[in-house]
Amino acid sequence: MNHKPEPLQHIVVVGQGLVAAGAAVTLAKMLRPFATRISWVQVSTETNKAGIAGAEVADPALGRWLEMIGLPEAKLLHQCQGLYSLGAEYRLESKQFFVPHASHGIQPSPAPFEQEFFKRFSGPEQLAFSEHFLATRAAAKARFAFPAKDPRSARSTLKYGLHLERAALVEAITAHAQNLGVVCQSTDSLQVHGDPQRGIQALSLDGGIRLEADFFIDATGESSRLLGQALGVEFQAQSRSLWPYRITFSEPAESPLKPRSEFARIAGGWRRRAGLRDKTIVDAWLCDQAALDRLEASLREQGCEFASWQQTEGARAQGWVYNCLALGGADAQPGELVLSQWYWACRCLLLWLELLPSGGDQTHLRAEYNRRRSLLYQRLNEVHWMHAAGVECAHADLPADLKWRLDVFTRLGRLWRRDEEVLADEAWLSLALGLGWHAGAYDLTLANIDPKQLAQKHRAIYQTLEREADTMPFLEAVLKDPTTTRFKQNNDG
Amino acid sequence: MASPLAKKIVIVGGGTAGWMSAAAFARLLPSECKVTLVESQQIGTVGVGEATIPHIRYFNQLLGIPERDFMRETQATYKLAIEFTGWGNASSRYMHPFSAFGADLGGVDFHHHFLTARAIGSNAALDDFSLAAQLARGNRFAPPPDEPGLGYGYAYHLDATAYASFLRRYAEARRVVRREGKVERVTTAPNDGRIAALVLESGEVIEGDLFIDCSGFRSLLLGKTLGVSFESWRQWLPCDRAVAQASEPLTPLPSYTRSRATASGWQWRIPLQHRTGNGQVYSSECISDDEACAQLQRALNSAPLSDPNFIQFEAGYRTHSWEKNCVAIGLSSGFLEPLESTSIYLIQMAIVKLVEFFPDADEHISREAFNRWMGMEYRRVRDFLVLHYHLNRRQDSDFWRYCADMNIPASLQEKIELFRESAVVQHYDQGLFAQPSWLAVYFGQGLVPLGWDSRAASVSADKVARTLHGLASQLQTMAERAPAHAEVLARGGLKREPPAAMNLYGGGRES
Ligand SMILES: Cc1cc2nc3c(=O)[nH]c(=O)nc-3n(C[C@H](O)[C@H](O)[C@H](O)COP(=O)(O)OP(=O)(O)OC[C@H]3O[C@@H](n4cnc5c(N)ncnc54)[C@H](O)[C@@H]3O)c2cc1C
Repeated sequence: MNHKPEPLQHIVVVGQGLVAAGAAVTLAKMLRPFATRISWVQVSTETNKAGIAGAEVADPALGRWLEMIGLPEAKLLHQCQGLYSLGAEYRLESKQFFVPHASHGIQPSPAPFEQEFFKRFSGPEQLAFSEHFLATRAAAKARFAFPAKDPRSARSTLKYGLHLERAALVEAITAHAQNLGVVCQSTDSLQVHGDPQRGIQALSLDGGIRLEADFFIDATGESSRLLGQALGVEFQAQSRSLWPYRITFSEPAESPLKPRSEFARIAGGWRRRAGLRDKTIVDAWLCDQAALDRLEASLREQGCEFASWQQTEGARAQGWVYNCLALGGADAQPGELVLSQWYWACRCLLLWLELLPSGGDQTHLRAEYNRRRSLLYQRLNEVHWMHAAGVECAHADLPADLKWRLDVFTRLGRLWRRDEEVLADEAWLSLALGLGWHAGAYDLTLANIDPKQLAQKHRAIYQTLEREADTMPFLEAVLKDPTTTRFKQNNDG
Repeated sequence: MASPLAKKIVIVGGGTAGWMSAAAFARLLPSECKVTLVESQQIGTVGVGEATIPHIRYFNQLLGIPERDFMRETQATYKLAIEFTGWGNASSRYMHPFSAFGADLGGVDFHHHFLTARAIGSNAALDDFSLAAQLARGNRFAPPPDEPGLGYGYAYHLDATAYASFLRRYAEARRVVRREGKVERVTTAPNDGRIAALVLESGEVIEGDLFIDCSGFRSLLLGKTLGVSFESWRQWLPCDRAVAQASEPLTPLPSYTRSRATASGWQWRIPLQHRTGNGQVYSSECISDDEACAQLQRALNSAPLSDPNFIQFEAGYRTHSWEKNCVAIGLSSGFLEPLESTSIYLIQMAIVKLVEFFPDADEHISREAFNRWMGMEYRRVRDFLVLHYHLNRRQDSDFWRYCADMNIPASLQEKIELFRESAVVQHYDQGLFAQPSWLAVYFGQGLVPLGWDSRAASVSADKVARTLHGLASQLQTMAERAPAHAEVLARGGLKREPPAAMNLYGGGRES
């Protein structure tokens, strides 16, 4: 063995906002025990969203991350006007459906559960599959419970995400980062010393301060000050931009509060409503300026404040170059309709931590990171394309990998399994069925089974879930006092 | 919804592939599908293929075959690992168990701590941290414990001919019709070249919608009739012959397969209840058949029970295993030598994927999906096998020097370089071999990484030594308490069979 690997001595995170704060706190938690110093340079990035509240709409991975960094979820939820969420409710013109965070918990026999619906129904009725989740039943009734550990309980199928007010979340994480020893430094000016041949050497900040480190995290958003500007890693825009126009505003809180986000097709794109305790945050993704203008005009008429901006979907050629890792928008913009920018950044950061470089130059390690990060990007980006299919883009124009997966699903009724998936099978199935792809075949072991028998089984399951959902407390009661309803159980994967 | 187009399914071949397919179709396909199997006693089967990996348990359970019946009928023994001796250098010896090694510590994979321990002078072997390996070392067997981190998978050594007969009885009891006879001709439709019928020597014509080619190396339908080309991987897997010979059963009875590298190939030893399967795999460019046979006979651990059986092969696969209305399963679709006992797994995967993608309204997509999947499986297994040859450090023959120097597939080169640089195993979710398997071979054959996870490196020497020593002794004690493998078999096998998974390491994938 040649040498004992030395840990990185000093990592500097550059940026402001959730990605930077999340990166700083994660690194502090994971690497401070190994004597790595974490600094965070808070450099203001231009934004026109000032003063407009935003929501972090997170899947169950966020809960696991909070546990990892040691930030108590209940307290955070309170600070961030947060809600628990069991999934996403979609309202399309002709139908409504639910994409649960949960599993259905029904063992294959030997055909997987969804196949039974493909046998019973053809076409849109197959969506009955997503009705057979406790999460779906509970969300419709505005009820919520924490997942149970006992695998015999229907509640063990539950998983939950969170809706959090983003600015408050950043504030809480920042405070936590400082408690964990992250050295924060604000600066208006930032000069990056580095070049494409050697990586980043140092940063110059306000007052002539020079900051050196052996590793840099670029969390400067789209401006990509380190990876893009200093190291010249090129941004490759997506073959076509789906919804380059974004707008966000808030509405009064709904009553009663429901544990789910809500997606709707609107003229020119998608609208997502995510409830917080005191308001609802609305985000829209729009395909053209005209759609944006219309929405802005109607918001102005209502006297509603909003923020709008433009965004280009795409990715830099690499996410990690030399001693610089870009996270979030500085790295790529896979689209955040379903999974947020923090989700994307966090997956990349955890991947980097899994591989964790030591002091030396590890080209193969970087190549492995960039390979897996590219796969992740594709998977996340695909979710976006799924939402655009048939409206903003024709099936023929979908990315080849996604088209293949959808073809296998629609013609054979099967999930094409790949490396680095981002959506759980059940979520992907519910989404695909809801967005209009239907399975054209079913598992052959079901061929000789009478559909009436399946219908009976499904009725029994449905009724059990309905009854179970009725025993669950209302979300509002859980929010008032999580301890009265049930001892909080593990929410892991 | 439409019902399957393929109502008449015809299987050619009654070896392991043919009867596994027939039994699975009888169990899984709708009753309207008629299944006919044609085999020729005159031609016979390849007669080898006795070491398996844990997935076979899933297959048997899917068919509803009780383990104890299976053990009795196929004279099977349990298998927890493969022992590799003489790979790496002539004296190296390691186990590739069906388990992970240790469990991660403080969020850092175990093997990084193992590397730290080695850096401070520990001479522990990676095997010491696998209960399955420890059990195998002691010729013991016990079902996997429930404790997290200690689980493992297990497989069988079986009599391939007896397994085929057993499955034949199963299949024939469930609507499969067997036809004895040699296929003399295959007729194809003049318009689209699809297979229309088989014509037997007797003149009997067997028509079908879907033809399953299980004709072994002959590849009668896919290769000979439809002309699908064979992609040779001989440049990476240079062995092209084997000689097999059975001998008396072993005492004590091992619960692992042994693979011993020799000067120009390697030898297998597969312990069954009633005999031991032995074989020498070699490159005909390096030694003659007679020399290979003599080498095998010198190495037998027990008295011979049969005459030597010589087999020729070439590593590689048909560029696609499904062409028109013909699907090749088993040796007719490709061959990867039995170094990691993967052929029956590949048969099983082909069956599972065929049923999953069974042709319905549009055959094209089924075909494409099947071919993509099987291509991925074959290539990923191939890389893992090539790794064994390439990582050797033997200097005793041109054969091994060639293997060490050969240009390997780029996909494998990347993996090796990554591990050499950083002790990281390239990650993938699909395909057979995950991190534990790669670690077993990397470490077992002496690939020493230049760096590893600095978090593990910063744990105090004392703490690492204590933790690792504690784990190894715990596993050793557990292994010593387990019954002898022969004892478990004398009782007819396990009383209660644990549930099986499509997984090499038992339970959820640990990688
Ligand atoms: C040396 C060696 C060792 C191996 N060890 C292992 C191992 O340990 N583990 C493992 O998993 N795999 C192993 N394998 C692979 C394994 O043996 C095969 O995958 C398995 O036996 C399946 O073979 P098969 O059924 O495809 O072909 P075969 O056993 O060759 O069967 C072919 C069938 O086709 C029939 N047939 C052929 N032509 C005609 C015709 N014209 N008319 C009628 N019928 C015809 C024959 O009668 C026969 O029934 C090994 C292979 C070799 C060569």
